[in-house]
Amino acid sequence: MKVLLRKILNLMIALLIVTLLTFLALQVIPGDPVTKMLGADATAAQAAQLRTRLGLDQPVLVRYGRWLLSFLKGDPGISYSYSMPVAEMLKGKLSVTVILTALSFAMTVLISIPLGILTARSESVRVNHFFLIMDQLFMALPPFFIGILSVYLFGIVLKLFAPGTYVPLSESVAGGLGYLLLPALAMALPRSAMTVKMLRSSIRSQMAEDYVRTARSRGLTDSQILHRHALRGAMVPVVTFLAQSAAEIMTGTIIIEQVFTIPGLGRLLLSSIGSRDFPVVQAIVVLMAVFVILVNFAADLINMAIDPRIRVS
Amino acid sequence: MKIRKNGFLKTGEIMSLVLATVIVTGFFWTPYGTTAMNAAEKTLPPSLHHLLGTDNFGRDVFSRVISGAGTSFLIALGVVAVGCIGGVLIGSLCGYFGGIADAVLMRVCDAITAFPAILLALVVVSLFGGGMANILLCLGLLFIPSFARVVRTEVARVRDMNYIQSARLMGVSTGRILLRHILPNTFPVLLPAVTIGFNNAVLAEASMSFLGVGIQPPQASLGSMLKDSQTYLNTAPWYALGTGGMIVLLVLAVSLLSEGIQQGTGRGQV
Repeated sequence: MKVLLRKILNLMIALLIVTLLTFLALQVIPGDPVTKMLGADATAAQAAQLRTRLGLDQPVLVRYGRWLLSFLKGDPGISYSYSMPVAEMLKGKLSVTVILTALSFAMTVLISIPLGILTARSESVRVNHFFLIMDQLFMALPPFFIGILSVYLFGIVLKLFAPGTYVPLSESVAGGLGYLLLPALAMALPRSAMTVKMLRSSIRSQMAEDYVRTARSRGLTDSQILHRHALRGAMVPVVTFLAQSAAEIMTGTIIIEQVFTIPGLGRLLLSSIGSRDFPVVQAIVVLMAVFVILVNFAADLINMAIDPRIRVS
Repeated sequence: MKIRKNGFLKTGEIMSLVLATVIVTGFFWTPYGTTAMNAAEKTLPPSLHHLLGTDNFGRDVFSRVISGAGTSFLIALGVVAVGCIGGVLIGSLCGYFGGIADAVLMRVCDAITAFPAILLALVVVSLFGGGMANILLCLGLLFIPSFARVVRTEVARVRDMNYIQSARLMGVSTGRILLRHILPNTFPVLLPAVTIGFNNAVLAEASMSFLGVGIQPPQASLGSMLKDSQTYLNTAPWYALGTGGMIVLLVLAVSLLSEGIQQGTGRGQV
């Protein structure tokens, strides 16, 4: 319980640091949003007026405090470029990115866990070598290239889908999900290869432990040992790695959305960076950061459930 | 440090050697100029004249791929150099002296490594402007923690071993102990970290240029070429295949090297 409390405290601190850093980072960059909004021929008085209206004349820490409070209340501010609430702009896009991430993560788990266990159990040298080589190959394929290859193969050669015609889930659930399958797979494939490799070596090192030898001497078969004892311990590093994967996939959507022209957070982030629309950039970066922290926290909780030793240390 | 020979290592060495030769040659000579346009030779398919065909401006894709790989190669080398030097400095000092500074710095390192480097790099570089120097510095700094971590663990492990204590008793200076007696221990973990870091840097640079915030045209970069090639996927698929293929080859060569080293030093799996 004490460990859990400390972890939650750490979580809060991490969130505070991340939001503060993002906020500060966006203050020091060159490029003034006020001149960007008003154009070059605005008078100094107009600029000062807008500055006051946006609260930009206050000290940085005051602005941070205000922003954090309203962000926690669910209001990340007002977009500089579109003069509409940021929350409004994020609403539709966030769900697309979350679904894409979830889909890709689910694929990664569903592909890598069974495959990892299967290949760890195989004793044939040839099969092992085959999987080691496949691992290396798939790890070397960047998601955006797999994406482009699949757009070419399935979109242009086989004409199975029309690239750039994403339909929102609100209009057609099947159509929207169907369009997200390929981008999700493009991100899942290299991640799966890494996870398989990791799980396999984790299982192998567990199977070399003393307790496994004891279990063997008690007459258990290797498959019984693996499923009842070794797998549990072997999962701990894999769960941590999967959390990292979820984070990588979340940020990977920025790129893959560009490849498949999916209107998600990533595309909004890129266009907002281009127009120096800081409230939007800030909101998206913080959202992604919160996601990363929460996923890692979840992994910690799962590992505490798997391995009692982690609960006390 | 002894590395046993194995298949991965050999394949990786051969691939890296061939690629390095091609890339280094590309710094001085490419079959065609990398920015030389030729309206008469737009989007030609691969042939003996143009090994990977030509792009929408009639530029030779093969020449541009080599030159783009050169850019990636230089950036990745620089990123690894910055990350490795910074990481070794911080990691060895933290590991050797320990204390509060160690605890705080390692916390910070953990926090930074938890975040996908690409997100931070993307925002920072796009706001401060692209170009090789900015990308290199930004990614390099972001890569320091991963190196610091592995070095620290190794240094903390050997810090109190008998031979180090003997060296201390004999009056060897701290700097010399760190450099001569402790640092060589970190090579077996540092080498795979360097290769993995190199690949991550290649991929990060390619992703950023792909999004249009990295290397700016007309300088050839694999990422920005891949982005351009997407528009011509219909008419010139070889453009995308050649460019993406080069990224895959680069990453694969170094990743095979890495796997070979890990297996050869007994740290990998069989």
